[in-house]
Amino acid sequence: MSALFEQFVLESRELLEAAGAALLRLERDPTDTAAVNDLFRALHTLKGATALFDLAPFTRMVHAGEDALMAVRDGRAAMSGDLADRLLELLDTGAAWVDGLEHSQSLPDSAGARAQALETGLRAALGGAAETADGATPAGFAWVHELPEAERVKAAGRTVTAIAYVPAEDCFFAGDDPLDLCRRIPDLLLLRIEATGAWPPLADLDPYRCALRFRALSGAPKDELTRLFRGVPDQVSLATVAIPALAVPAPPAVPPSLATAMLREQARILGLPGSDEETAARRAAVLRAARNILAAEGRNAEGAALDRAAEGPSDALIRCIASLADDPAAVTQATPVPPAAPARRALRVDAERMDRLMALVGELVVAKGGLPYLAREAQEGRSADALAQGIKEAHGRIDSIVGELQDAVLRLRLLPLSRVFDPLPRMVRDTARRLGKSVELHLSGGETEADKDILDILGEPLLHLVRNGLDHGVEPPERRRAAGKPEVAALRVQAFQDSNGIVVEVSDDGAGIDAEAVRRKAVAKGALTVEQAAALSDAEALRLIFLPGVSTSETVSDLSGRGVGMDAVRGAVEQAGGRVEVASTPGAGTRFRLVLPLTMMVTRLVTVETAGALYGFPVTLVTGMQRVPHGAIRRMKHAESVVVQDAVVPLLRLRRLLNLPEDERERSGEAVLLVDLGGQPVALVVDAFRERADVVLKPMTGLLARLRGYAGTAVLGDGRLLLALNLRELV
Amino acid sequence: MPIHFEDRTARFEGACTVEEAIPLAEWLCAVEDPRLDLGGCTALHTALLQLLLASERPIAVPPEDAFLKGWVMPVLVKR
Amino acid sequence: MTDRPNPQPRVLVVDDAVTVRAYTRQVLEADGFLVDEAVNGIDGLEHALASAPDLLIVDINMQKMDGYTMLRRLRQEQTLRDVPAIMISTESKDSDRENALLAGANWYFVKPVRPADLTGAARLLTGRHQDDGRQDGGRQAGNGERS
Repeated sequence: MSALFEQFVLESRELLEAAGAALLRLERDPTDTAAVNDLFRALHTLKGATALFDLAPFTRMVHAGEDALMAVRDGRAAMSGDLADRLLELLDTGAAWVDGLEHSQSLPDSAGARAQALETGLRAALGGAAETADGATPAGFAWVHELPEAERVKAAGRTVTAIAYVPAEDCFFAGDDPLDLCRRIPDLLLLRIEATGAWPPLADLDPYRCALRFRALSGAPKDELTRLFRGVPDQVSLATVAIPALAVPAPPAVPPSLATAMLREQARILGLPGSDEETAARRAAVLRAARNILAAEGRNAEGAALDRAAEGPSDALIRCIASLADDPAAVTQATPVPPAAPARRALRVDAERMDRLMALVGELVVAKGGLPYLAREAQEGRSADALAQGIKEAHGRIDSIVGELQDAVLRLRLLPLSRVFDPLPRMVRDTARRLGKSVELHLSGGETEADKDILDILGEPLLHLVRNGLDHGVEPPERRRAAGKPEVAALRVQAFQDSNGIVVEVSDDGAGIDAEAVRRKAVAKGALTVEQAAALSDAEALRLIFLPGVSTSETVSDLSGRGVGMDAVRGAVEQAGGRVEVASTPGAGTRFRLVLPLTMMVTRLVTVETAGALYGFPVTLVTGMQRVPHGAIRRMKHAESVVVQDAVVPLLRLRRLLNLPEDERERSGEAVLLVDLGGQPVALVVDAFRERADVVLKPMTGLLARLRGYAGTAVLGDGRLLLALNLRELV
Repeated sequence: MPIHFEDRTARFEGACTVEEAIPLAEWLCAVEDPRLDLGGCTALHTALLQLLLASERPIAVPPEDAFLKGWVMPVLVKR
Repeated sequence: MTDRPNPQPRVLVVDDAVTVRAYTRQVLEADGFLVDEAVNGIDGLEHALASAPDLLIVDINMQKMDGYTMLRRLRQEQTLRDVPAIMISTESKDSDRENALLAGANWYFVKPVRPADLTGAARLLTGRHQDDGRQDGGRQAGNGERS
């Protein structure tokens, strides 16, 4: 039992006792208003406490008691012996339920019916005069909760007034124009116009008989709407309802509607009546609240507009806050954003990093200052050698500053991986509990930094790998015991940086992956033939799990077997220019390794020359480079292959892939680039290896954008153009 | 007249009242392929709205009035 | 360089129900807030004056001094008049919401509040970035529905 629940049991008992004592006092003296208040307060507090847990019948029952007391307190009903009996019955039931809750943490199955019976009894004891519950949605307004999300958006998370307006058929003769009345609804959040029946043929329609009805939601209080509809009280019903906030996909994201609703509310508060002192205080609180909301949303820049408006009159400030509330640009959801997405993205910057940037700009200004001096010297006829020396020095200085600037700018975008690690402990705990497994999560390397875009892409695959490890990797406790393993499984997620980028490993000490099962599944899915599967080494076979539709699980589990599988992980990681590896030892565990570039702005490429042009491949995909003698290349019909590190690897020729003429040069062997093609190693023949290069890739534009196989272009330091290839699309 | 009936176009101008209901009903029944121009309409009486809804004719020019555009047009489009 | 919001904002929870206080504390602390408690309006005023919190979460129905009165008094204090305040009550009547705002609240929730709503609102009103720090905890205690 959680500490909170224990607390609840204790407090409930105290409240029930206090209520019982007050009730006895009340029975002795039905005019004892203090007793009514004490009883009411005890039930009210109890209701709040039950509502924290999933105890709907309890809440409902207490609520009914509270309603009855409110009627007594307001003089709508008298305290009778019958009512006191009902209330005592209620308190007894409550006490019994609390006892039960302490032991089983659940209410009896009959609780719902019991609560309803007590509710009916109480109402009868009041003479049926009690109104319907204030918390529940009043009868006739169920439609409010059936609204599609798109229509609910504006009202989500707010307490609003629901309006059901069914104009009388002859209302036009009374001078009513229902649509016009609806137009005048203040803070209209939703208006539905519906026909009361099917439309007759136009010729049969009586234009003077109203055949429409209206349903609306308004942010204005009920009293205001009662006034608006005062001419047609018999045709309209109003109810205050709380519209639930919209479902939020990820827990960390604040529902966008909440910020918007809160800002709207701040604007509304400014318009509330009150003394000068009151309105001044409200204004101060609203300003601070609005500023904070903007800051929380990463919209600090808009705070300036707020400050400007704050200097003006109230209505300017109201308008300003209202427009900030409705600014659609404020919607920032934590969905993975492709790097080229034009959406406005906020980035919080460490003050220190910003300072470094400023310092570098200062240095650049100083370095620039040396150039006019050189120009003057040239004019004055200094020797070419001395000038060359001076230019070289200036170049050296500027070069080093630009290098640092580039680095500093990249660092602005770096964020610690803990951002994507944070949701893991809770997810692991909940998932393990649901699966009945005991797992200890070991997280390390959360301080490792990576580009914001990389982090955005990393989040989903990481969750999936961890879930997958829990679901398929870690065995149930009894199987672990039988295998002589500790009952508590270890799930490790560690991140570190290496020369090529960041590495995130997810490993478990579970059952491992059965390579044979993967082979069978892949064959069954038609991904390859039985012979091909048999020719694969176990390590190669494991990689088949990254193919669409191949999963080692026999049953589709509700956790990780939802169709998106390892192929989605691979896809996301490769989209970011990274790769994913898997290693597994049956009985001992599985390790997935995601290798991602540090940043997506600068791509490190291995460049090669072929047919006089330069081509580049992301370093993360290249596993090796070697020269292969002609004799080592085997030919089978048209397919070529080569043995690399004891494995047979298909050999492809870049010239052929790009439809370029064959290489006619005399040579003893081939320059071969070893590339990891999403789990499939490939040897690629190129004309010659060139240096590695850090480039900023530009996407292909215009007609070229439609060419398959090209990831983008880049200009090298010496001005030569380089084409970055997307080999997966070429092969 | 807030509704101008031309050959096959009914042009709604300004606040269109219940007085227009009968003429509009007759015109809608009489014209083969009526064209409805609500561009200049600033208020539409309920009686007129239900005629438009019952007629199931498309709106050629939607109203610019914010209330009509935001709350009434979607109903007219959805029919 | 800039006026950065306090990474661990302090929230004063004023409620006479001990379970509700414990629940609110659990939810907020799991999300990285510092939480202080007071048991009624008078106690709340004293705590607020002593500790200058970044946010108030105030119940309406309390003994000795109710939430409305407490907020009205608080808004008269120069040092506390602009502290954002959320009022929480089981009452979902429009008049309750309106009275809360009139008394000086910036937002009104009907009990029980879902943990994500509570932390979301607290983050917004204290200016804490939404993807900053730990995620919401204490979810196991919330039933996610209103009464």
